[in-house]
Amino acid sequence: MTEPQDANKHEFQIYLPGLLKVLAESLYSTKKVAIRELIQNAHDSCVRRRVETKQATYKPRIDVTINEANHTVTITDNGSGLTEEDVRTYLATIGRSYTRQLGENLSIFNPDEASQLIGQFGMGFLSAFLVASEVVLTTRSYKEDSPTLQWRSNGDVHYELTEVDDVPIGTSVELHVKANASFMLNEGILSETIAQYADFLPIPVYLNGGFYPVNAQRPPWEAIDPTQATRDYIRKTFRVESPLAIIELNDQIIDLGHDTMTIPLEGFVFIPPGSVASVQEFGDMNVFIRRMFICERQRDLLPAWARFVRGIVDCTYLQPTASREELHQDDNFMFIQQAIEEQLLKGLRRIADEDPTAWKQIVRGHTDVIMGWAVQDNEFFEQVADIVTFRTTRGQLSLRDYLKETDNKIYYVTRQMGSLQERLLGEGHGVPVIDASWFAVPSFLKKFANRNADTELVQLDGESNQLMRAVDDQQFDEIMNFFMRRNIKSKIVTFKPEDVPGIVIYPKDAEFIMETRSALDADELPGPLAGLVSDYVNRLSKAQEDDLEGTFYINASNTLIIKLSKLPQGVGRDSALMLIYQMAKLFSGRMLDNPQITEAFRDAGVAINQLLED
Amino acid sequence: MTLESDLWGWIDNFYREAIMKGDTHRMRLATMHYDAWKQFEHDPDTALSILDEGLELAERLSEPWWWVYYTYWRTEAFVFYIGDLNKGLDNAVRTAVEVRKPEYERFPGIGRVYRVLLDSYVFRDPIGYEGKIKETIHTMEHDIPLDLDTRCLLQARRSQMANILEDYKGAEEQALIYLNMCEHSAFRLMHAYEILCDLAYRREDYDQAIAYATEMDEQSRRSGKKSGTVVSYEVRATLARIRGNEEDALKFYRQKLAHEASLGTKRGSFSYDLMCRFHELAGESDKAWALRERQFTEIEGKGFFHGEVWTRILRCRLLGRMGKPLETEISATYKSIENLLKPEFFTKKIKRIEAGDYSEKRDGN
Repeated sequence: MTEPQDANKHEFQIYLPGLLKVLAESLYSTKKVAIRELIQNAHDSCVRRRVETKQATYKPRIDVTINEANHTVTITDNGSGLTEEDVRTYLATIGRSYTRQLGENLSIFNPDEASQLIGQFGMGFLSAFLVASEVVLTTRSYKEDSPTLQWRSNGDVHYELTEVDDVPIGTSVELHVKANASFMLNEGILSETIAQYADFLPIPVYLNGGFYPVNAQRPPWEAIDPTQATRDYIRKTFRVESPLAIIELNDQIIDLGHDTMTIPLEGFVFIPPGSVASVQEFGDMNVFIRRMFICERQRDLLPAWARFVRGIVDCTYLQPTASREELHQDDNFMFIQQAIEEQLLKGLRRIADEDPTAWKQIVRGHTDVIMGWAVQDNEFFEQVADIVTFRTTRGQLSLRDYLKETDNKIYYVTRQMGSLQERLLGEGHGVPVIDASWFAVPSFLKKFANRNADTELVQLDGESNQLMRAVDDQQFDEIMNFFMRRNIKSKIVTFKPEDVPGIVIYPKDAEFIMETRSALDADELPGPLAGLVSDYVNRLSKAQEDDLEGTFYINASNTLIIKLSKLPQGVGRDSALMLIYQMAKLFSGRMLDNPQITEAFRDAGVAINQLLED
Repeated sequence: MTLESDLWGWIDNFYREAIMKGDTHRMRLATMHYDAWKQFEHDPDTALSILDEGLELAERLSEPWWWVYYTYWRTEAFVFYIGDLNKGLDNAVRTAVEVRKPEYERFPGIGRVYRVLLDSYVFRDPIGYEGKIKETIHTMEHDIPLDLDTRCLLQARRSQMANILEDYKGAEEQALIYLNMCEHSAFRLMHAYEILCDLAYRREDYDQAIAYATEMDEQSRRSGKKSGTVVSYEVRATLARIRGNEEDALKFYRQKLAHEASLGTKRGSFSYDLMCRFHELAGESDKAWALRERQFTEIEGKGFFHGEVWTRILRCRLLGRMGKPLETEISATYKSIENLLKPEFFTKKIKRIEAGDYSEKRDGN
């Protein structure tokens, strides 16, 4: 029974030259892909011959030859060749691919062989017209009594198909290179292009009859010494001499809730030595599908936080776009992304546990990015919270190790200047102090404390008196009176280290308040704005006013102080106290402009002089 | 006479020079503020991280102008997007003190540094600092080189100040001048239409409010922002309900919710007023109260002294209309006004509430 004819149904009319122009010139972003497409066709043809003939002695090969004089490049394979029907059905019909058909046929009973086939769109051959004004394809099928056929086209609506003298089984594609694709005639460039696209293909590709193939024929992870091969590959391809770590990618089982799925994954990710850190920086992957290079610098396969990571992935589940320069971001893409993230996190954790030196190098090189992202990304934070290391007064420490030494308290300083004595106090108190001068560190620590209720944060900037214990002992009254008479605010406390007789502590905004007041006094701010600034600073300094000159904390457990407290008032004792105070002032590293420094040294000099005379 | 500052010329030249030298660090330095700006509306925390990084990079590269520029943007982030005026004001004052130094004499972003300091006071206590704010606007317009956007914003502040001081006619006149200055930027136009829409809504000129809301939506979409679109739907939903068109009210409300989902910033007081009214009109006072609770939580203790008191007054009135006890809220409001320099402005309003007047009727002209 035939279907009734619908008078309203019409067929599309195709203007082939226009279509060829669009496909050839707009589908691909670079002319080099013509090489990839033709080598891939040659590769699939060899696979087809091996699958269909099952000849044990068959040795596939692909040859690429440049003829500079004739402006031609020829790609020859000893694969299955094409029959006349193949030529008409597949070669001359856009969108129909023999490889896809063969792949579908093989996929049920011979999935391994099916997985070796690359082509699927039936459009790759068109890319020849990107670089060639005329394409001459000569082919002889492995099938018995097949004639040698020559197909010739200049991208016009017509093609010629004629029988010619016999050639060996296989196919050769002769490209008459256009003037704007003359790079193809340069052996160096062509060699690089072949290596870029076909390096991992198992079939050897020879250039200009060379003795050695120009492609490695296997990915580094399949080399006899995969570790060394991978390092060599990273050096050659990514120009990274000494990666800090390499994490292998393997098949991964993904939990789908109702079922599981195994993602076939090959490749590796590596961590280059540190670069300028940035939350704007991106990690990237070079992508291969069935060993054919698809694209480089693919960012989306890596999780957003993995900006310090680069690598290679080969996965048959990835689906290329028609130009095969990009990937479809379909469900499989998401699963592969998930698989890579899981393996990356697992790998990082393993390095942190098993190779602390390598982990320290990673953290040192990429701390900014790791910490910056952990602050933003809760899941990533959970993964790295206890393995990220911090610069502390006892070297690089992870919070896990740090907290063991501090009874679940985190002591940190955020300012670089003037934090020396806070660090000293912390160390004296028997605890390491974290240098949190980089912006992401305090946020990271706060996030950690928020998520761990038993952890307490202690910021030491301007608050280091938290590490001191007040002393109520009349023994030191004389010393207190000495400083009171000189308008120096002082307190008797005990703190560690006991060798330090005293330190001067300023409120955290002291410098700013002083600077602003002096700017206001000097009329350096425009009129009404000065009023707004002045109002704010007055409010800010209200609470800190008394302490702006600093408070001198005298250590009652220091033997020198104890000795001085027992001495009667006199030149020697007074000079010693003044000297201790000036030393402490200088050691604080704060509120020291030139007159202040001069004054401190002058007073110290006077004190020393008096001591000598005494 | 006005002084012009070529802020964008500086940025463009810096970027071009970095490209020519292949200096990728400086190229990034010159572009990160754009990246932050793009993030402001839906993810202000990420925007802040980018700005922090810019600050760090400027420091590493010894680029003091850029250090100040990123500090200025951080202030913008705190004041306008993260909603922490304490940090914003602190940042603003420190930056203003920093730019007085000779090395910033020709820094083209100086006007922005001062403007965001001014903004901080507009948000903190506009009535208490009224004189200083107005004087600062005048000084900046005449004595400080300004880029076009800063000039526009100073005009916007004039309108906002008039509005706060309950001079609604004056506010509208100033807003129309602002609108005419904003042709260069869809984002600014969106803002100008929002101010005008707010004024039209409060004087119950609903046709005009809808016209402004429509323009606001269009400019919001043109500038790639969502906030104007969301407010526009809030206006349309509320006005549809006021006019008894329940079908449209719900339709616009649903659209507002859909667009709002991707916003990460705090909502403005106009939005809260609209949505509270929207719910109250449907007898859903509990939902209106929940919104006022949220509004208050967002600003409480963050340094928005004026906003905190104003929100408390709105809460008192709502509690009154709901027939609930309001003594605790009133006493908390009296406590809040202690932070203000001129509490009398609000004392009168509290007295009215104590006298049993819970209406949202406006004072002023």
